Amino acid sequence: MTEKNTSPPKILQKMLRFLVNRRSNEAILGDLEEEFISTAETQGRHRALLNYWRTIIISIPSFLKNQLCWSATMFKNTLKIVWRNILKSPLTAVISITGLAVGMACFILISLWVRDELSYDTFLEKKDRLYLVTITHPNDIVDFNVPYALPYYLAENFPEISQLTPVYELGNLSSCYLRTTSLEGDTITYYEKNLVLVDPGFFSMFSFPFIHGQPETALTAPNAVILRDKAAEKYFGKENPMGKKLTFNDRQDLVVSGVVHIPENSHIQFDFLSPLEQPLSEDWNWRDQAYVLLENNADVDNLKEKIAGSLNERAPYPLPGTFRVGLMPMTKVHLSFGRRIYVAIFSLIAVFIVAIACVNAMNMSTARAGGRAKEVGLRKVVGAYKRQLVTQFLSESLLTTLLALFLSLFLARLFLPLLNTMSSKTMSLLPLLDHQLLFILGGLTLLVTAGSGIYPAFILSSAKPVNTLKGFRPGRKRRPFLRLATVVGQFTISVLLIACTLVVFKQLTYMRNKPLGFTADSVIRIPINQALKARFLSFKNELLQNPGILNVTAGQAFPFDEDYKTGGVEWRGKDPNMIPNVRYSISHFDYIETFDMEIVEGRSFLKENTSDRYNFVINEEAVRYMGFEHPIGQRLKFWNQEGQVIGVVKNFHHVSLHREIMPQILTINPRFSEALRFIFIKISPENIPGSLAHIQKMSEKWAPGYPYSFAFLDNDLQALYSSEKSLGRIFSVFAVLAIFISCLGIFGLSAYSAEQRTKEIGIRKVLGASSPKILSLLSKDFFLWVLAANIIAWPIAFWAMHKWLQTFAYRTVLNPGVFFLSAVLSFLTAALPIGYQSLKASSADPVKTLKYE
Amino acid sequence: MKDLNLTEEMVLLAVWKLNEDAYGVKIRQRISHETGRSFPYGTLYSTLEKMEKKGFLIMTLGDPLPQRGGRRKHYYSITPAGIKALKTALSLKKILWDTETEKALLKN
Repeated sequence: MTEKNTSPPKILQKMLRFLVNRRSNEAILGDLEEEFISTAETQGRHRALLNYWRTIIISIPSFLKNQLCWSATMFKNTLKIVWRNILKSPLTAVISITGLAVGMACFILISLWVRDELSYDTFLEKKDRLYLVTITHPNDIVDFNVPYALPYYLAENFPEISQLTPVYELGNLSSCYLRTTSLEGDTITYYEKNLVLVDPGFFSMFSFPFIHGQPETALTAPNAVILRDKAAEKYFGKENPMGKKLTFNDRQDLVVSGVVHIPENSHIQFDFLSPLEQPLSEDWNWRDQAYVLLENNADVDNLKEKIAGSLNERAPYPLPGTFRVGLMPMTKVHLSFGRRIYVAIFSLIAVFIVAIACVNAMNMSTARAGGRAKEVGLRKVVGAYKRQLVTQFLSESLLTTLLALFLSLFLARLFLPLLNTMSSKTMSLLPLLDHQLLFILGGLTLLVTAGSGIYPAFILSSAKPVNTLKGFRPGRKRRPFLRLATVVGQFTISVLLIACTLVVFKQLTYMRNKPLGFTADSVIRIPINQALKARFLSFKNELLQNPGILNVTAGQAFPFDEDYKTGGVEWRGKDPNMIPNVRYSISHFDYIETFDMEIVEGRSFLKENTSDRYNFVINEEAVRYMGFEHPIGQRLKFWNQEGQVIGVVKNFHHVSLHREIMPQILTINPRFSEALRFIFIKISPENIPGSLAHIQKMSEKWAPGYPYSFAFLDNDLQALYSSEKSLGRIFSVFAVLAIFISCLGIFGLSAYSAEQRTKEIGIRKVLGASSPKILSLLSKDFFLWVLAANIIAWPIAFWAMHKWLQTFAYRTVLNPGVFFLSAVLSFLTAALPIGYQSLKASSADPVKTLKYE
Repeated sequence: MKDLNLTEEMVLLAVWKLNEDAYGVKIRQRISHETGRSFPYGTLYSTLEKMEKKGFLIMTLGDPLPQRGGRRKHYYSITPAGIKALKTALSLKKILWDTETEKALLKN
């Protein structure tokens, strides 16, 4: 038998050595090995191994006990030292702890936000197999709206697709209202917007949690309707709505066959859902979204390649150019709404903030480290090992970090409701207990601890006691460079954030002030119904008799509603192969007047002129698009209704400023009046409540038995820009916080450097230096650093903001003013703390400062 | 002086009985041989160290041996103070266990 076989395995020996940490450790290991060998000889190696293992296991409890006792003692000592250090320079301690706490709180809040953003649609069981069908236009715009028939065609021809559903958004097409009768006999009616029709297999694709009903059978009856929990409560209160009747537009009775809960982090949101009566496999109208479910082991890349050309092959109409059909994973859909960039930006800010806080803490502890050199020297003389000192310093900074972490959790709890309001989310701190975030938080703590503690721990503890006790400061030579780099880096980030905040603000202001080409102020909308549609003119005339009501019209959509696009437009000189993409607006007379749109050429629709019902008004973009030199009088065909162009309306922003204005035609043709959804009423700003009451009275008079509801269009307009605005606001809050933390750091650092030079300043003053001179002496370096930071930050800020602004079709210009202003602001943020400290130092009485020791 | 506890008494006795050859393995073997109790080494050594601190035992290092992985033995020998402590423990037991008490207990 070889030596290797007779002695216990090395790894076990090492384990034991680690666990048994006492003076006689060698003897114990020796004893055990001796016993191991004799047991192995007499009872076999297995028995010996077993015994050895038993020894290891029984020594664990006492090991833990020892470890804890020892740490507790050390902990008490460390606690005392930390406390003394805080008392010794409370300002520095408060600054670094506050900075860390605010930084970590920001980090926690941003992580929660990012986590929420990334969690969209992840609750769906088949999320990995669900895809949204997309179409990439020849100009590379990715369209989520596809022809209804496309998914059917795909499912029929590609076996990889196991299921499909279009999402037919009924509520966007016509005005819908639902009615039910309560147990007490009251009629409950509301207008609804979020009604969708889907394939009966919808719920076997999307696992929305059912509160009532069975997902498998809920959509089997053709008159079934599934309610969202909130909608069910609206109509049926606390009662169980299963089997109850809902009447749709007074035409069709629907039976409630299920109630589902739709999580906030689902990009599919609906209030009512019914099965499509028959597949839309022949309907090549191009409007809503469609989803497909792939087979378990489908090769997505291969499938994507195969389906890319299918629209061009199959569409019953010729297409202008190549439209590529694509598939987008379900979980990526939410982020693709331009939000990915925000997630990236916010994550970056979180990292920046933590970095700044870390650098602050590091600078603070490094700055203080000089003062502690003596302590280290003495500890070493008394017999401390380097390792013990490192442990001490690291546990000190761990303690500070934990304190800050605790504070930051408190701050996060405090400010979470605010963030929720700003981002219209309902986040809680609960996910912090999630293993993922817990891991990040633990990692963050370790990182901050290391960041703030490693320098003093390793540099200080390696100093020679002789030197430190004699007054030499360790690491003095290296410190300036390190501090220079960190301070300049910190300032660079500040300048960057200041510049970005300024640009974001500028863009938001631009968006707020940009003339949209129409006014939505004091315009209200009420949903149209059959009664009002039939007697619209009488209704309108009676309304107008009230002086508070300025104008009345009806329309399919408001000017900035979602896009109603069509290819069914013909004009002279059009390339016959081209399928145009034109936005249309179906309305009544006075639409242009109600919304105050500007006619730049020709005239608007006239009541007196009966032929105007076939005529068109187009926007400037349409003039360009159609290539008209003299647009007035040109013949135009829209859905086979021919008429001539009588006027050109100035371009108005029908979508958010992210996108370009489309060519647009406006028609008042009564043949399309089925599509009207709203009545728009412009009221005078005086006596609004009176006018509203009058409108309600009138509509109840003209349409008895129909529900009444109204909404201000300004609110709709606000909603259009709200996400942009709230994201911009959140961004600026965090940017300001980051700048604040970095200010804190500069404040602490300048306080420290002034304190270091107290004696020098005293002597200078005694020798006749004036206060301004000392002021400039103390602050000169800092300002050079800020200047350097500005020079580094400008190009980065320019590049980043240029990129961001590119996502807007209409954007503010990036001029040097922004950078100049950010330079001024960064100097100010630096000047405040530095100036204060330097002033304090330079005005100090030399008698006192020289006495100081 | 505090009285010895049972473990300490057993360890001290074992060391005394082993005379020149008292080190970990042997002490443990002796105790388990005589009493059927086997201590983990942790307990054994913490007791030995405590006894050493109190001055009842003296430790000397042996030579490194290959069958111990090149590690030294810790030989223990008893000091006069240790002997005295054992004697005190013995007399204490004798006082407590007089013959009548023993007989009365065994009757139960």
